[in-house]
Amino acid sequence: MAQQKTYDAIIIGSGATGGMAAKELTERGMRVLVLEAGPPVIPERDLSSHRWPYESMYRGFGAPGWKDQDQWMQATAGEFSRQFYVKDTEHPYTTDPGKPFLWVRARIVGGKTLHWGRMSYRLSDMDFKAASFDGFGDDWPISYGEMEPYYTRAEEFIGVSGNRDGLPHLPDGHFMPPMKLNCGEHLLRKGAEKVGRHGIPMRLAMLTGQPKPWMKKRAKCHYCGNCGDGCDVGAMFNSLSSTLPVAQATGLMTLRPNSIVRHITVDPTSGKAKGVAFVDRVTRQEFEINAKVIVLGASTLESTRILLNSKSRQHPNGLGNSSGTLGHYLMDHFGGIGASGYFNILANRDATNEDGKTSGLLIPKFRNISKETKQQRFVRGYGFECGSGARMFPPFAKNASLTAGFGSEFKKRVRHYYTTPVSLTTRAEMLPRFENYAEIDPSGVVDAWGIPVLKMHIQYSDNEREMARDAAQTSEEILRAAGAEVVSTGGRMTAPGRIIHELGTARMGKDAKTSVLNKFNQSWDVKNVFVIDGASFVTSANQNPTLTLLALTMRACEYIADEYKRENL
Amino acid sequence: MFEPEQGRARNGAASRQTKVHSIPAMLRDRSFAGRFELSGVTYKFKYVPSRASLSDGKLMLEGKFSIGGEAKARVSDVKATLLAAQGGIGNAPPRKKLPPEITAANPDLPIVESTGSLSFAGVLYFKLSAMNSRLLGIPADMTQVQLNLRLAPVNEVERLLQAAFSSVVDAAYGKEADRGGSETAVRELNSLLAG
Repeated sequence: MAQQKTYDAIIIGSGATGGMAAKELTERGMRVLVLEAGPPVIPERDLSSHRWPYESMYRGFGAPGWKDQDQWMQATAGEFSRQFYVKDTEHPYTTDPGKPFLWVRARIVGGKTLHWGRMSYRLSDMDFKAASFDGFGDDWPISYGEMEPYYTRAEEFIGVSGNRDGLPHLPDGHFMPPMKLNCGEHLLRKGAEKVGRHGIPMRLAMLTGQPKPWMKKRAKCHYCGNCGDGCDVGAMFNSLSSTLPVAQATGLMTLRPNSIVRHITVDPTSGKAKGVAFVDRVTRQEFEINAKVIVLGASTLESTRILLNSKSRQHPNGLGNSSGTLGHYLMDHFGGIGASGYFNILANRDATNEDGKTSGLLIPKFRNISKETKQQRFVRGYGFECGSGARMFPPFAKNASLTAGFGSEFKKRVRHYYTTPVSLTTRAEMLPRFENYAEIDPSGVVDAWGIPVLKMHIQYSDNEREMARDAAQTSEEILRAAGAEVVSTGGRMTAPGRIIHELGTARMGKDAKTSVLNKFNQSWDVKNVFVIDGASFVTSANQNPTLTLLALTMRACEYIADEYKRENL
Repeated sequence: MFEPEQGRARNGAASRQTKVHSIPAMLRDRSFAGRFELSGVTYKFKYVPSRASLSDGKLMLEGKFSIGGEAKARVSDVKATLLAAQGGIGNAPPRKKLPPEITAANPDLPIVESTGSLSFAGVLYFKLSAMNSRLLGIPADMTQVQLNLRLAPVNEVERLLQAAFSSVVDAAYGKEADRGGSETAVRELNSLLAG
């Protein structure tokens, strides 16, 4: 039998972190195999950013019942983007009664970067050292000072639009021009300032300026507004247009789609990782392939599932789980709480379609950021994602409780309010707690390829619910200060998972007894295994996590390449 | 690109008969209907449960499994044991007995969508008893099939069944099993299955 090829590294996943790892490692001369569980993307078939609803007989809503039958948990999937998401029929997971978890997953080359929200914020030491500030949980083993150069590199590579706002708890970056606020957002910003809150343009990984020389084949955003259907000009950062082409150009990357990893194989002598076992999604043929380094970027919970499924004599509780914390400290952000209404001052203007403006106003965290803002009833904080403007399909028109009337009276009201809607919704931090965890389903449920699935155990504590109560009050306060007619307030907190910011479960730390990874995303137990995705997060902060994931990946890959050269892995 | 010879096929994998691991179905009136694909061929199937009981604290259904409609091959008396469930998100079916509020200690605080008293089962994962694939006319190992039943009701019978299945899950599959509640829920389920 011919000598089997051994790669320098196998990267599991081709999304934000997998793609970045492929770029970073190949640029440093390593030969990598990228295993992606889903199919390849055929741009002309799969990217639909310029399709109009009238091009489908279902007007963009899909055939009746499709979501309930095939993709019931893929909350953000639409008729034109469903190909980016898994079929829930093939990808089970389980929960305890009364405690659901909403798990949105992308299995396709590029992963969730094909449809992500693009919001790109830095964490600060208020997040990295949160435990030192308020005494809850643990600090990250790294500081903002250590992360700062990697944030800068990540922002420059992916292109982030934003404004330098000078907020210490939301550090500024190296930005392209910010997207402009519209009239309603300006009004809301003024209202926020009246009650002592900041309002800033959202910071988004979208090219608002001329692409830089390294942004080959990417174009400036032309404001078509259909980012979630796959950006076919590469204006929004995604692996497909940004990181994977760079890795491909080195000639050192092999990308294999349709490769579902079962587990990591282990050398029985050394206990180190030897390679991975995977099954072809389509042919169902089984493979094993070897590498010197294994890099998991399969997404927070999928990476954890692979590690938990990688049991062996040396690692009886799963790979890298000597601490017993693998799977634990599962977090998401929560939303669902906020306020909405109308700016009557903007009523009866000429109708314009502002769907192309995919930005908005962010009201960053304002609780527990100083001695003066310290809260008695909860630790950590929340911010608001806010938007205003005229949409082709205004949500208020579909909600009878917001827009009463029938026939001509209804139409009159829709026309009146068409240019006036405004809303704020919470993005809030969830505390990392040991009792929120994922495990391999103990009853033996498997996926369509016979791989054991996860069971989720997660619910909010009263800290999150107190924060939600506060957010309901402050969102209404801001809206009223802005002069809006308030039509809805409060709401229900989103089920865990719905914000699609699942984090934790293989956290980094200073102590091998209480964490899975060291500060370079390296397994304490198995030194040639790295977890670079959201599993490594120690706290969730309340900022969207992708920029931090990219920066962490760059940092980890620098370390991997150095250690590999020194033959330390 | 990756060439197949670069990866070593696992020993004996090629010679083994294809195994059907899981098949998806929707609740359609009182039956579980679905389809699965094998080597490019699509097989429609239907499982019609006629009786529910509790076995070692788990819900067990007995019924008939058929491929390709009523007139085709059939394996009778297939048992389906409920392994676990996935909580649903969205509108809960009307329930005779609401599940407990999980955050009852502090009722003044905001509630979470689809949890506690708003919760319900969205998917049920059953393990089917071994089936003879030759009798079914399926070129695959059908001895350890998992049936993933999606509950997304579109009529009253399905809504009632979803509520009954949800009650069984609440009573029998929680951290502490409620034997009396389980038996009541199974009785309700049997009366619905009987029509």
